[in-house]
Order: sequence, then C-alpha cells, then structure tokens
Amino acid sequence: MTKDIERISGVLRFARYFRTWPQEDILELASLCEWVRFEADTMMIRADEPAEALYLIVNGHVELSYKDGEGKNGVIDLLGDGQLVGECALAPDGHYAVSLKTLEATTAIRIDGLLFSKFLSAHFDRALTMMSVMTERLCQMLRQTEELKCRSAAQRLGIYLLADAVPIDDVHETPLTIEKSALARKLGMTSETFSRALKKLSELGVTQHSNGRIIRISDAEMLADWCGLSDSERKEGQENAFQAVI
Amino acid sequence: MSYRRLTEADLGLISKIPVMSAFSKTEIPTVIGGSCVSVFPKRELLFNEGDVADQFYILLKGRVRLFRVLDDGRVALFHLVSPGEAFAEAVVLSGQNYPVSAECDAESEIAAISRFQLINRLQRDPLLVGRMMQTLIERERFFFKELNDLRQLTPIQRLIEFLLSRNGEETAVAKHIIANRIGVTPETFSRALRRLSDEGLIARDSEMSILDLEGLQRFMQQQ
Repeated sequence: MTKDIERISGVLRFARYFRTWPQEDILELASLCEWVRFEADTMMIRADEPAEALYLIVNGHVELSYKDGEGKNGVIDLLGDGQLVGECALAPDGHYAVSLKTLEATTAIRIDGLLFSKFLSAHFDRALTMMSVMTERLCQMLRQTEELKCRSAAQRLGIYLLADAVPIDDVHETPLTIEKSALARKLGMTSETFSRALKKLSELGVTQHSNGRIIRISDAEMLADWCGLSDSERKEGQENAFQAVI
Repeated sequence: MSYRRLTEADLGLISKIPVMSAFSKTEIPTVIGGSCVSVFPKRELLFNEGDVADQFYILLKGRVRLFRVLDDGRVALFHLVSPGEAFAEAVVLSGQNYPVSAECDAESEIAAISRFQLINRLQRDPLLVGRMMQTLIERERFFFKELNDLRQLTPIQRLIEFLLSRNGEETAVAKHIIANRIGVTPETFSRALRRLSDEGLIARDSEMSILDLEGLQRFMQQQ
C-alpha cells in the first residue's frame, strides 16, 4: 500500500462521485486514502466481515457477489474503472453486505471508512453528495431489477453490446474486454443461455469477429428497437447513450 | 383525502423506521409537517415517475405499490410497501426526481415529510446525517438480495420465498401482483402454484395458505 496524495487527488477529482467537490476537500479526502493493488482472483472484501474501507476501482474488473442465507455466493454485478464500493464502511460497526473478487490484476484507491465518516460529519454538503451517490446506486439497482424482470436474456445482452458500441464505417463494433463467462454472470445468465442469446442476436445482424473479441452490430437502431429501448433511453448525440440503461 | 392527527401508536411505528430513528418521539411531529396523517378513502396516485421528489412518505396503514410503466404499456412492480415502511427517502435526500410511481390502496394512511424541513433539520444536527446514511446502506442490502434472488432462484423458489416471507400473515394479494413482484409471467406463476398444491404443500385458496411448512422449506432446498 502506498500513499501519494497528489496522484490520488488527481484521480479523485475526475471520479464522478467527487468531481463537484472543491479542491481543498479533494485534497483532504486524498489524505485519507492509499493506493492498493490486487492480483487476479483475490478477495478484496468478504461479506459479513467488518467494513473498514471503501474502494474506488482505478483499473481492472471485479466481481460483486452476494451470500444468501445458506452461505451460497451468487454474482450480482461486475464493476470496472471508476466505480466505488463498500459504502457500508461509513456506518458505525458496519459489515460488508457483499464480497468483491478481482477478475484480473486491479488497482484501487482505498478510503478509510472511519476517517471518511468523520470527514463527512464535518462537511455537510459533501455528506449530501455522498447520500446522492448512494441513492444513484439504488436507482441503478432498481433499473437492474427491472431489466431482469422484464427483458429476455438476448435483449439484456443486446443492450449491453449497444452500450459499448462505437461507430465504424456503416456499422457499430463492441470490443469484449472481459471473458464471456464473466459477462454472462454480470448479465445474470449461464454460459449456455449467453450462447443462445448471442445466436438469437445473430438473426438481427450481430456477428462475432477476431475470435469473438469483437462484436459487430450491422444496424444499431434496429437492435435498440428490438431490445425495447425507448427514445428517451437513447437520446441522439448523447455520449454512451445506452450506458444509462444497463 | 382527509387528515387526522398523529397518535401515540403512529409515533411508535415511525420511530422504528431507520430514517426517522434519529429523531426523538417529541421531535417527530415537528419533522412531519403539521403533525398530520393523510387518509386516502380510495385508491390514489401519490406521485409519478419523474416528478420532483420534494417529500418522502411513511405508510401507517394500508398498502402502497411502487411501479414503473414501461414503454410497451407493461407495468413493472418494484415493491409492495407495508405499514411501518418508509419510501422515497433516498431520492428526497439527494434532491433527485422520483424514479418510480407510487399508488396507495383505499383506506391507506400516510405521513409525509418534506425535503425542505428535513434538510433544515439535518443542517442543525450533523449527527443525524450518519443515521440517514445507515438507512441508505440498509436499502442497498435489500437490493443486493433482490438482485441475487432474481439471478439465482428459479421461479418456483421465488414463489416459495414469497410465501415463507409472509410469516403466517396470509392476507389475500392479487396473484398477478405477486407474479409481478417476484418477476415471473402469470403463466409461470400459475404453473408454480399448481405444482406446490399438487405436492400438498399449499392450499388452493385465495390466501395460498401453507399446509406443510417443513415440506415447503425442504422442497425449496431440492429445487
């Protein structure tokens, strides 16, 4: 673990959670942080253990899993660069509700929970923005439950592909930066269902290239229609317009 | 809609809600504007998705549905609020718009807390902020479980979990509402119900009464 206030504050000021904070508050927050690096397949946090820190993922992918009443772990999300986890460290005597495991070598900023909690107690406006962050997360989770309840596996995969698609000539292409099995878990489906969903999408002009590392979408608008995305969910000209949906 | 005054029983219920537990019983009436409870004689929409979230609510009696109307006209039900539960407090704290719509049943009784009053109160007592965060964290735990159930449990397991969660309070809820709540189609819901009643685990009545609790728990494990 290394402490480097200047470099940490440089990352924090561009993180969407803190980008509205004044510089002096960013610097104060950076003083409560340290760099951490984890190898692939490392447990960053474990459910039910005392929550001592929050983590801002700087580089890498991590898997978020929930332990049910019988102790079985189920993956509920896959998080990447710029995402914050472990807010329960802000609660006195809090315990982590989920486990976090790295899928690849991952760099993160560790924020001491107790010290951050004290900082927020002394900065009312910053506390409100943190509440806003947590609320935003809740809204995102609400949206995920809606996706799981109302959209088919192929539609969910289609939306994911549209979110990361970049226009190239007359088509759109999506690079797959994570293993398909990990992506299937993120989307709440088995590898078999994932394959069936991809086959279904091939009927809509979605094809695999470069050994499956690149997905080409021949008609993004048609795919968006088929996935049931409304106009408001894909406003023209909005950067990463589909990202908001997933 | 009519109004009635807060009773001692209301205060007892409200003080148990995490977001309000930071306030003493004598403080609660000052946070709830006018110390009044709204009484809805018939089914009514409390707010629409996209409205400015200027107040949050505590259900004292009745039932409230939190839902979204999708573009194709289908309705996605997110939560059935029970008495003693707060809703919309998270978005009120952050000053966002309501992400869902809310509709109450007839005879529901609801207390509303305005954002303006709450923020004023929080500014006067920073310790309360910590309590509010606690509430958001607890709500996040609810969603972690919800997402896990939707991803990991089969439709019949979700139905069993719903039946077990009632803790013996077998009030009749429309079957299409339950189907929506646990995220299955009405057809799948009917098949799951039939299977459980064929196994002799639940009755074919409107309350879906549990006939064999241990058997139902065992059946859940075997799925």
